[in-house]
Amino acid sequence: MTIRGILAGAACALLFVVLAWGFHAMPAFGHYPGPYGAVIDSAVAQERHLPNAISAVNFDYRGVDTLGEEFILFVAVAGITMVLRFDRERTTDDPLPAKHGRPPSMRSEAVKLFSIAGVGLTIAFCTYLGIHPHLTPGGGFQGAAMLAGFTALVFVGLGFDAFRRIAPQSANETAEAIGAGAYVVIGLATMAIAGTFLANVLPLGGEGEFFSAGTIPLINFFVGLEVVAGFVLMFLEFANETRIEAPEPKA
Amino acid sequence: MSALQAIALILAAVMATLVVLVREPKRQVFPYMLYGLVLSIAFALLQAPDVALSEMAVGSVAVPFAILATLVRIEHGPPPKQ
Repeated sequence: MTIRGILAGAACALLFVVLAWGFHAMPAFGHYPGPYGAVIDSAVAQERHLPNAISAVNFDYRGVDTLGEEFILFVAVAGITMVLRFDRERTTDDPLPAKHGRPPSMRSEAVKLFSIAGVGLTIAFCTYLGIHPHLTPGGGFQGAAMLAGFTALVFVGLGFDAFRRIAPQSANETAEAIGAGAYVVIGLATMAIAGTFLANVLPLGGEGEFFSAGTIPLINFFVGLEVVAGFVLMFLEFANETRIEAPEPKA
Repeated sequence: MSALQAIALILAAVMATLVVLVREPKRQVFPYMLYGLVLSIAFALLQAPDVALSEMAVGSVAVPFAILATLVRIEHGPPPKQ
């Protein structure tokens, strides 16, 4: 037996012991022991006038955490963009992407058909998800992350040129910055009005109405803007890396 | 635990093993996408639709897109000059 095998066996045995120990002390399946879930469940309808408690937690009760999470995505996308653009600038003397990708003939008709058929459905469903955080499951992050998937569908179905046309780089950069900044601005504005960062100062409305739950749908909208633009920018940067020399136009 | 939940969890374990067993990165992406889908079904059955939707977007679209683009870049070298 090699040293490597002995080490792997010992590590697996240790992992098994620690896992068994941990699972032994876990609460039974489906039995959540903490107090917070029950408190939120019973209080959220009176306090925030909305049925989806998860959004109330994300955008209100722990809104500062969500602000941090939003900036994690912002910094990640900025990092990807900087690293890839720096590399392209060094190898191509061109920080901005070239116009042409691989020739569109490399796709089968079936791939084109299913990709394009999925675009409208994706836009409708994901926009619905994204703007109803307070009424139905989902919300800004989920809706927007899946919405960005429609640009990926266009890339798969129609190719790089079409993808570049529907996902303009500067518009996405602006949208991402506005989405990230607006969250902080809303926080500061509510602090100026109510004295607490991200206090829910807007009228709460009636439960189940589109305009209800105060600042929650507003914050959610800007989170969604940031997420969709962030994901599209990421797709754009990665897609730019896959370009090959454009074919000579036929005379 | 309901039967459906048990099936979804077992499927998740099977798909995860499959992802590890496929050793070629380009082929590995596809079981990985299916693994994301199975995981999001499991989350939905465990009454966590928010997490299921996030997993679907990130696990089945965003990560495979990034991996595939990276593999193309590794295979074909840097993008050409203008």
